[in-house]
Amino acid sequence: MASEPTFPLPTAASQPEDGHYREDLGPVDTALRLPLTSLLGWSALWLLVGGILAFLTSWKFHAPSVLADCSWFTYGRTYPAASNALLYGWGFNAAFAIAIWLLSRLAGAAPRARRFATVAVWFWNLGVLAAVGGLLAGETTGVEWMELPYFAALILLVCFGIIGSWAVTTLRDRRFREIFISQWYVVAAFFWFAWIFSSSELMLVYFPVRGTVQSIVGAWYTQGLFALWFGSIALAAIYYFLPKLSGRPVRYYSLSVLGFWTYGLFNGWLGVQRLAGAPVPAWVQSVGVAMSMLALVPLVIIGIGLLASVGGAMRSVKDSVVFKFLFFAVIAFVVSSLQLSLGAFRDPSHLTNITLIGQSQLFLTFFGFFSMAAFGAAYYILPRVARRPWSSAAMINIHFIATVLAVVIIYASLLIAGLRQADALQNVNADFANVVKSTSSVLLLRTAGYGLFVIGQLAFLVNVLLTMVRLPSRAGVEPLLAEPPAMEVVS
Amino acid sequence: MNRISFMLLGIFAVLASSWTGLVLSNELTYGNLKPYVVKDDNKAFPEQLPGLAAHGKQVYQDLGCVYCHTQQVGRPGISLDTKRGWGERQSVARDYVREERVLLGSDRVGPDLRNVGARKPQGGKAYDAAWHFAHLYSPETVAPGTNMPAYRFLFETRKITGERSPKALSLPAPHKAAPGYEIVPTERGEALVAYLLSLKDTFNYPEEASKVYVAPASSEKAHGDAAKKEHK
Repeated sequence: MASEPTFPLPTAASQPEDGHYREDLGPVDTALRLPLTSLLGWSALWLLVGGILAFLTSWKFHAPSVLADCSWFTYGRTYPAASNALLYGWGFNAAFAIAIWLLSRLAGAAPRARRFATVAVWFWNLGVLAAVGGLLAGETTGVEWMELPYFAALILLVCFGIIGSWAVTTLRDRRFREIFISQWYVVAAFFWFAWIFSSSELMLVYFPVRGTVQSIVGAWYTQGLFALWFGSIALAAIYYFLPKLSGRPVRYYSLSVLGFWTYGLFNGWLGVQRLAGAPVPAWVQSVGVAMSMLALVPLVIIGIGLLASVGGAMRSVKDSVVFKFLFFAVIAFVVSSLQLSLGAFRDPSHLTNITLIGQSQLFLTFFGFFSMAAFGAAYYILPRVARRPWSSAAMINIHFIATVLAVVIIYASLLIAGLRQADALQNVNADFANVVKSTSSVLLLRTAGYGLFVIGQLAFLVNVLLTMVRLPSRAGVEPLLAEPPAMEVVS
Repeated sequence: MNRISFMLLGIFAVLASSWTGLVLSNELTYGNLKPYVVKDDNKAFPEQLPGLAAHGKQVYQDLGCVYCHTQQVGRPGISLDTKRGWGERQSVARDYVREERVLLGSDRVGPDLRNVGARKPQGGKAYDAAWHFAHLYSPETVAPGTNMPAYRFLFETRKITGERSPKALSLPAPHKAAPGYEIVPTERGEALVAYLLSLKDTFNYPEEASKVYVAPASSEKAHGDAAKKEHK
């Protein structure tokens, strides 16, 4: 694979929309203004709300008396409220925005009925509000990562169906015949998650299955949510933006199709790995271990292609803020997938499968991989759909630095605390307070990390809102006409 | 067939495989696992939770106890759970068949609670209702070094009218109620403790005993034999 293939591959770069045979796609961007500004605005708002709740939860871990006397803010309620605000509030809004924008761009046409879709977006956020409020009031399904109460879940299911089918119509109405790998990932993510979400809600909440079959469905949902939904959307964004920024095709593009199929296949099966040692059939646990090894196949195929592309792009676009976020996302993708696969080998998993180590892996997947890719995409997308450059360059820098530091600190503290916790759990004669002591001091760092995280996300929210509401000025005109990477840099 | 339909078919097949292989197959094979009926006693295990404990489970669930406490005892030999005194035997799928929501948990920030109702007294303290009430009201007083939050909202402090309530907590100095007042659990508090005390998987299912886990009797015997050998 020393030389790049010379025949035209369907990559975003070799088929440039800004080039001579694809006319200006500005009208597509502008057409998406209403749904996309709604999505990005809501996502940034939920990110701050979820960040504050996560900070509070982390603080309460080593200072249990903080806000303990009010049942609404007890640890066991702020925890799911934080995770649901972050997953369904920030994560889904951002993922929808990226998915819709990518599908429209790559199809060369924006979907119709945009006002109708925007209504669904607002209802989605009403659903998230009901979920977070309900969780604080004690309405929960009790299923980890799917705690949102049944009434909120119903709203989200309907809205997901509407937004998903609306976005996928772009495939039918597309002007450009080729289908780029990003479109595969986005379309698959919508289809997969519609199935995963509806079937898990039915089997766990509306007509609950019996016994620990619930745990199997829950594990399948968790991996589906993190890898098949968030992971697929993040990969779609990375596959689109890397060649777009660097002007070169994705390395080993022909293999990326194989990466796509194996990624989808093995991640569906991989979730049960989290049930090692749980009271579920032994064969299910063996499947989990086998899949962890097989999951190395898509990791190698996708990971090597992306790392090589990142390496290639490094020289030309390292100053682009979009690229900086994507760079971090690619590294986090490789590290988190590797951690999940290697953690499944029998011995370590029996020591670690019910400690904070599992949480550290999910944290890195969501914040290091998905969220970083989403930030990168948002920095590219928002000025184009709002037709205005970013309001403040300083705030972009604050956001980037604070977020990167926070994610690294929180991940490292969870991982170290988890290792110490696993170690302390081995000492069966010591009091349980020993286990508490092993984690509490390290998790002080996590609280500091979340503090930094909140500062970063406040900068992001302010910047997003200012960019959306500021009247177009003369100064704003020039960056709009600039080449893609230059548009993110504002004065 | 054009490329798009081929692609959609593939996308469908990819997820169908894990849905069929993991979700559907498990639901079909052990999704209708039944409680074990002991004919002589006219009892079925696991037993149905009594009303108050069933309400307590709701409280356990809505307060999010699951984020710190697991409810699963690992297999002896692989996991150290039984040595820690978290249960006499490993948890098996049948233990959970009556539960509307299975709360296995994924993180042991606090101790496993699967058999907390059968926990043996340690160092002179019995894990009875009084201990649980004191632990919920003020965790530090009975479990030094804990980071469990207090659940004061499961209690009320009220003026003693007539006789002191038999349910009133007797707590050490800093948490003691003011003279003339008493601290009593609310209905939710009582339900939660009833639930905690109901948590015990002490029944040995004959089928699982022969197939899944090593029954406590035989493992004790094995331990005893090993000890004897060492002695010789």
